[in-house]
Order: sequence, then C-alpha cells, then structure tokens
Amino acid sequence: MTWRIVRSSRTGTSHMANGVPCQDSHLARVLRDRAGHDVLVAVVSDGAGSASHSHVGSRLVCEAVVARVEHLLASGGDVTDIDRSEAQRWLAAVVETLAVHAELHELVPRDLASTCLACVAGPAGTICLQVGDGAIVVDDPSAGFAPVFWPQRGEYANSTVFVCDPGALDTAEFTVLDRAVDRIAVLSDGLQMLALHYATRTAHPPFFAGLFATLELQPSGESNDLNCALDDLLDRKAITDRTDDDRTLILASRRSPSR
Amino acid sequence: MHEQQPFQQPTFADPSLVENPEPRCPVMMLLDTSGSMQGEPIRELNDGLQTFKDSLMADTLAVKRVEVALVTFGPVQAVQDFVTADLFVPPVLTAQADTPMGAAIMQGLDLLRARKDQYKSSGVAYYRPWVFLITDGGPTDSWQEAARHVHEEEARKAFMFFAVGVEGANFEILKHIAPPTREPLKLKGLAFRSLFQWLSTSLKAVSQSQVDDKVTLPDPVAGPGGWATTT
Repeated sequence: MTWRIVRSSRTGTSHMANGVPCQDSHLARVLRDRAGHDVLVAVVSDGAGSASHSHVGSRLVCEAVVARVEHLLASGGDVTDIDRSEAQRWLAAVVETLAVHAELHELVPRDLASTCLACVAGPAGTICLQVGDGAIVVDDPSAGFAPVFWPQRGEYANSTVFVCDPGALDTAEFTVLDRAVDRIAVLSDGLQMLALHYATRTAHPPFFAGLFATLELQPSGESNDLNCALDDLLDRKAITDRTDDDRTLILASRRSPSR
Repeated sequence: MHEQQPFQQPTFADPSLVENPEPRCPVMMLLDTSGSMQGEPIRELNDGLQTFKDSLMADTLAVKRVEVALVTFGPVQAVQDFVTADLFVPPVLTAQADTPMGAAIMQGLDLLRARKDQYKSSGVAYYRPWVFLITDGGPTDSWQEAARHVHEEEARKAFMFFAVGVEGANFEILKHIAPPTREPLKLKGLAFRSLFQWLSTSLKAVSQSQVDDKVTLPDPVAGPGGWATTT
C-alpha cells in the first residue's frame, strides 16, 4: 500500500438544529490495476439541502462511481483508459442507479439530488471528474496546491448543479492529469469557503499543508485513530463558527514524510 | 463517526482558514416620493425604513449580508447606492414633484447591474437580488420600456420584482409593470412598518439559505403580520 488516507464527513450545525441527517457522503478505496499498481479512488457527494432523500442519493453516487472503477480494473483496464466519454458513461450509470432507487422507493430522482466529485489516481495518470460545487485540490510540484476545477455554481450563492440535472453530463468537468499526483484533497462545499480564495479562485495552501504533513507522519493505509482526529478537527468551533453546512474532507498522500 | 480510542490519539493542528467576504443579498428599493405622499404617508414610509434597519441590525448574519440601495422618485434620485445593512443610514425622505416611475426603474436596474458586476469581479458570492417598487400614484413619464426590462430580467431570474401600491395607486399600470408571475400587492392602509418588517424577515431567510435551499417566504397577505391585499 502506497497511499495514506484520512477521511471524515460531519453533520452541519444547521442540519443538527433541524434534525436533518448529514447529506454528505464519501468513499476512499485503494484498488489494484492489472499490473498490480495501487489505484486510489476518492469520491465525495453532497446531497441537496432541498431534496428529501439526498443523504441516500449521495451514498449511492459514491458507491456507483467506485463500482465503475472496480469494474474497469477487474476487466483489465487501467486509469489511462478513462477518458471524458468513459466518465460520462459513469455519470449516466449513476443517474440510472438514482432512477432505479427512486422507482423502488416511490420517489422521484430529484429527491436524491447530489453532486459528484471523483478523483482516480493511478501509477502514471490521474483523472478528475466534478459535477456541482466542492473541490478537488492537488499539490502540483511547480504550482503548489490548486483546485483542479473551480466549484460549479449557478449565478446565485444558493444554487448549484446536481448529477440528475438535465445537461449535467454535458457540463461535467473532466480532466486527465498526465502524472502521478501524490497529494489529493477532496472537499464538500461546506469547507470550500474556508479552504479556497474566492476572489483569486485559488486554494489556500496553509489550509492543506499542515494537514498533509500530519497525515504523512502516519503509517500507510488508513487508521481509525486518524479518522477520529479529522472528525475532531472538523467539529472544532473555529470551523463550525464559519460554516453551518455539512463538512467532508478526504486527504490522500503517497508522498514520503519530509522528516 | 469513527470509534474513539483513548490513548495516543493523533491530532491535527488548527489549519489556517480563508476569510472570504460574506455572500451578499442585494435589495433595490424604488420609492415614490411624489407630492401625493406628503404628510402621513411619507412619515410612515420613513418610520418603515427605520424599522427595516433596526430589524436587520438585530440579526448578526443579515447585517453583513443584506445590501440596501434606494432610488426615489421624483425627481429620480439615487439616495443610497448599495451598502450593507450595518452601514445603511435610513434617510428622512420628503415628498415633492411628480412621479417619473419609468426613469426610476431604469436607474434602479442600472445600479443593480453595476453592483452584480462588482460582485463578480471581486469574487463575492451573491443571492438573487430583490427589487421593491412602492408607489401611491401612477407614472408621469413613459414606463413601457422599464416594464419590458422588468419582464425580461425577471424571466431570466436576474432578480425578483415586487410592486406594492398604496391606496390611490394606479393598479392597472402597476399590473403591466409587475412581472406576470408576481401580481402587484396593495398595502393595507399605511402599514409600511409591517411591510418592512416582512421584507427584513424574508431577506434574513434568503441571506442565510444554503446551496439549493428552497426559501419559503412568509405570506404577505394571509400570514401573521400580513400587510397587503391582492388587487
């Protein structure tokens, strides 16, 4: 195992006050490609505040994306096989999953409305896919921490895009980074205003640097202790004073500790 | 939720957080200060503006997020360009002259467009703006062009336009100016304070909504504190 991972989703204070569950979901897995290399899959999905079952929708989105990557690798593919049309097929499969779930539970797909942020990092290439707000941030060797895409928002502060929206597949952000990215952060919109500079559309490097340094002192893989430490961090007053929304963060690194 | 373990728990140091500007919720008020507003109506309107300010001041988030601008007519005057509620000083308006409502609407929409451009260029997030027209008469200038702008921009969700007529207003023309989806409302008597109380309550709800929250506004007609009747 080459990756160190820490991850957490925490319920927003406004959700707690109103008895609404945490509508964010996430999944982080390390899979193997046919050559035996580690492939990191990190997915975050933020369920719409106005959708009655979006906490289920966001979980289904994460599971469906991971299942597509598992399927690709199991059938002999690797990360370099993923192009925009493959990613669009994933999103179509996600939409189908949501439609089937809605049908079975007498809901409409809109009740499951959720965003989708996914990053798949293989030995040579990394792909990023995004529908809606939130951010995937990578540490570029020359440019430092940078969001791969700017959060997809509507014109207004309380509007965004969801996977089941008409046109979401066409406007989905997709990119291939032709290198082995070694530090990846995926965060939901509840944290984006604390970690991104809106005026310059850049990441705030100090937010990420300290967190990665702590992660990289840990053994590889994932530990319950460290996940608890991230829970604790995301629940601190300094953060909850500034955002009352759900907060999700996945950090993954395959960089050796600097000391 | 992860299971807590009592010993040797690693911890993350507090990360440095970004101070982004608060998202803004702009409201443009187009207020009739024509001669017919003299006396009781203009006094009640001024009291209403003070109520509006006081009510926003009592809300720690709204005070930083709601931005107010005032254009009065006539004559058409930009009495206040957009400022956050904490910096808004309610003016004491006096009634005079005629009712150039069309020109006032055009100027108000221009100021609103300029404000949106400023938000965009400085990376400030914002909510859908509100435009609030209050009159006790009818336009004494050409209003058709202004009405066309209101309808077009409302249709592409550039703002939400509310038209309120005081007793004696020309509701026939107001119906042509107001967007088809939002009929003009008639103020009950001179219930300006109730109107502004409602406006601040509504703006508080909007300015604190999350991504994709559907904001339900209190009913201005039937709700408690209702200040309007339909026309």
